[in-house]
Amino acid sequence: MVIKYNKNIYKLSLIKRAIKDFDQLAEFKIKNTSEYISVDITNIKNNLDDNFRDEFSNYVLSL
Amino acid sequence: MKFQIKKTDNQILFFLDSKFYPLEAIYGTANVFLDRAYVFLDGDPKKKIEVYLKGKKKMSQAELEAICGEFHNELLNYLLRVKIAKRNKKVRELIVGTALVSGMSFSDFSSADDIDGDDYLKDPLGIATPWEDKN
Repeated sequence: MVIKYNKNIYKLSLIKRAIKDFDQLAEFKIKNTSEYISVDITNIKNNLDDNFRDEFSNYVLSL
Repeated sequence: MKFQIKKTDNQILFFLDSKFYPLEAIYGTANVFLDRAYVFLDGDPKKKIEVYLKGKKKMSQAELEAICGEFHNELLNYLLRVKIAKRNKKVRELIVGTALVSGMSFSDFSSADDIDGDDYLKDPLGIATPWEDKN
């Protein structure tokens, strides 16, 4: 799954920090475009797929 | 208030005008809702911010509308708090400063050597001599 974060709203440094904190739970790839920071999430572990994307986004906002 | 409800996604989308609601206030408000909803932000911070609120529990249309209203209320609350905090900044600093100073003992202001030593007896400027003795 890919989450596109608006660069004007979400800071790259915080997304990277969130990825670091979640890296045990899935694999992440960041793609930086002009307007968005795309985060590609694969291999989500422990059947956490359902809300993983939303939980991750909430975590980014909480940082 | 304009909003779009996606009932299948248990989600409500609404727009906030950046002229009235700065991004900082939206971040602060979003944090209040993180335990009840999944929050996602998009849009242009200079014009309009899109706020997606997705219930963590299944919500009816009325509940989604209610959470949207609560978000707006909390946003106003946050803005008011920021405004009051700015207005009272100097008073708060003064109160904290006074509290800190009153909590300090005399020895915090001068070292023990200054009190126990004989420096104060030297009187290099001659101010300890009474006026009558001088004249």
